[in-house]
Amino acid sequence: MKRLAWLGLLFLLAACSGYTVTTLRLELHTFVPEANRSGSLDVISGTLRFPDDDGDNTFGNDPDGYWLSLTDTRDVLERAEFLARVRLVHQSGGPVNVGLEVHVAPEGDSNIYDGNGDYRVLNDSKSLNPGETAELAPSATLAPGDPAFDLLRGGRFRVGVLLSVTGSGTIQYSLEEATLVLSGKVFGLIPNN
Amino acid sequence: MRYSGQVCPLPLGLLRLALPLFPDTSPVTYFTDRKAFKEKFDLLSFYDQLSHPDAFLFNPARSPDEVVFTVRGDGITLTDGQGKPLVLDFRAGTGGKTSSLLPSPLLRLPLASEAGFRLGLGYLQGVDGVAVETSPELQEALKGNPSVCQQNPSPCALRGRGSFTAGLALDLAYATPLPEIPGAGRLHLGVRGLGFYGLAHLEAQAEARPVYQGDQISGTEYEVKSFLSYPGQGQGYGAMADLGLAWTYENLTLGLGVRNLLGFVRWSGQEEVYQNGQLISSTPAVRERAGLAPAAFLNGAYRLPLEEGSLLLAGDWALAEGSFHLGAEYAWSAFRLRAGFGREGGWRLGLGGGLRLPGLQLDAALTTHEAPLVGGLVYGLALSLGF
Repeated sequence: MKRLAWLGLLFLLAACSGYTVTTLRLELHTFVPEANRSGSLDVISGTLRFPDDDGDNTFGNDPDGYWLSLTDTRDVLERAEFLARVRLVHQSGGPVNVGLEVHVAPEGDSNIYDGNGDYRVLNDSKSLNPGETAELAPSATLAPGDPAFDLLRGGRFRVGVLLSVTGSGTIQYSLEEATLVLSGKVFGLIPNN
Repeated sequence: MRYSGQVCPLPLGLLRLALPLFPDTSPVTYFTDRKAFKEKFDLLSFYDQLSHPDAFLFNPARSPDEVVFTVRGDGITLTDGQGKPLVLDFRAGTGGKTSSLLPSPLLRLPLASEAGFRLGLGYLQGVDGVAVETSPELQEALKGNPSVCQQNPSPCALRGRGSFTAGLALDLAYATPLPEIPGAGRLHLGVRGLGFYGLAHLEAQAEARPVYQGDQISGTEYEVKSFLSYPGQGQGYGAMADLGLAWTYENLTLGLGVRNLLGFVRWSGQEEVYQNGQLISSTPAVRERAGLAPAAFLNGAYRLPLEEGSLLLAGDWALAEGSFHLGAEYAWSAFRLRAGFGREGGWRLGLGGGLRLPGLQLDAALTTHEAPLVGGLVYGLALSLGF
């Protein structure tokens, strides 16, 4: 868990104007140990879930993602953006399909990838033949009215990346980016009346 | 000295603070136009104008349009929207190391002047001791080496502090020439006594540091201490004495002034301590300073007669704060033209002009100072009026 409340003091020092946009850029991929950000998937069908902080010594099987506890940004948050990028190299075997998804879910959700109570905010996939390389780089911007955006505004949520492979082969993957960008104006906390 | 004789600087800065016409610096818009306040008020601009009340600032320090906090597994960086690192360390005034008991007068109303005696009533207001500091370890972490922070208690700390004082002062000054020194000019001696009644005194300091679990930040701990005193919640009063000595020899004048040569100030109020958002203690407390707390000033002036008019070269040096100013004034008939520079919490440049008429003295100056936190030059207009 990251409690980032101490950023409040920095916000007060650096962002105290009505027009200043305060952006919190969470580079989630940096919470995955560098050694685990790239590797080979030698599977018939398989999935990897990032980050994996369940401590069970098996990497990529943590179903509840990463718990983020930020300050309640209900009156502040104006925009949320997700960016992800994975590089793929098909090394051997038959044709495969690789999918990349980013999910967010309420903090109490024990499986943020099962479609039950969670939101898939990023989704991209590619088919690869042996010897081919590809990059999956989906991005999405959430705005008020989107249920996933409302979840993020509460400030306490889970987030995770799902990399899935269907087919039979060996895929070299490299997770280069998984970033969540939250933007808003701190002066939004001031009541209107 | 901020004023001499019957000349008083006009607190033009109050216009920016009081009029809703200036929503970036006027907190009054909070009550008159909440929408404008939420969209345009800038705490950094407000602070900049508040700490320069005798100048109307044309371009007060402006907060960045975007501030980006990048949170990575190994630390946090703080930049503006263009990726330029923001400097967290800054100091204004004496950065909390003030040696003067009371701030300088913002307004002074002459009440009487006779036979070397002068009586006046003044309003004193000052923001001082404002400082934001990052510990050396946090500076190193922000440069990309977060491992120096990874222990409990963490040496990486962000500290901020500041104080604000306001009050009324009644002062009585006396100046007299001493016997002439044969062939070496004349000395003048001046003393001033001042009684002070406090209207408000606030001291605040905050410190935040991360808490680690292994090499990951698991939380934070922060502590805020404040002391507040105002009539109704404690009181403030004090007295102090200043001494001045001037030596004149032909066209040369050298002066030594010592403010707060002797005196005391006492504030009683409430001290509160918050830890991690929880009020830990709230107790009556006293802030008292007494005895010698001198703030010495040296100044000098030389008047050079010209064929048309005269040129005055002048300088001053505040020993305690390490600030100084150098300047020149060209006088022709009733007109004055001035230019100068100095260092006072950053470099300052100034241009000005004045008018001397019988019974009236008017001076205007273009002032500059370095914007706190974000850097860059801030320009202002200062006026002073004398009778």
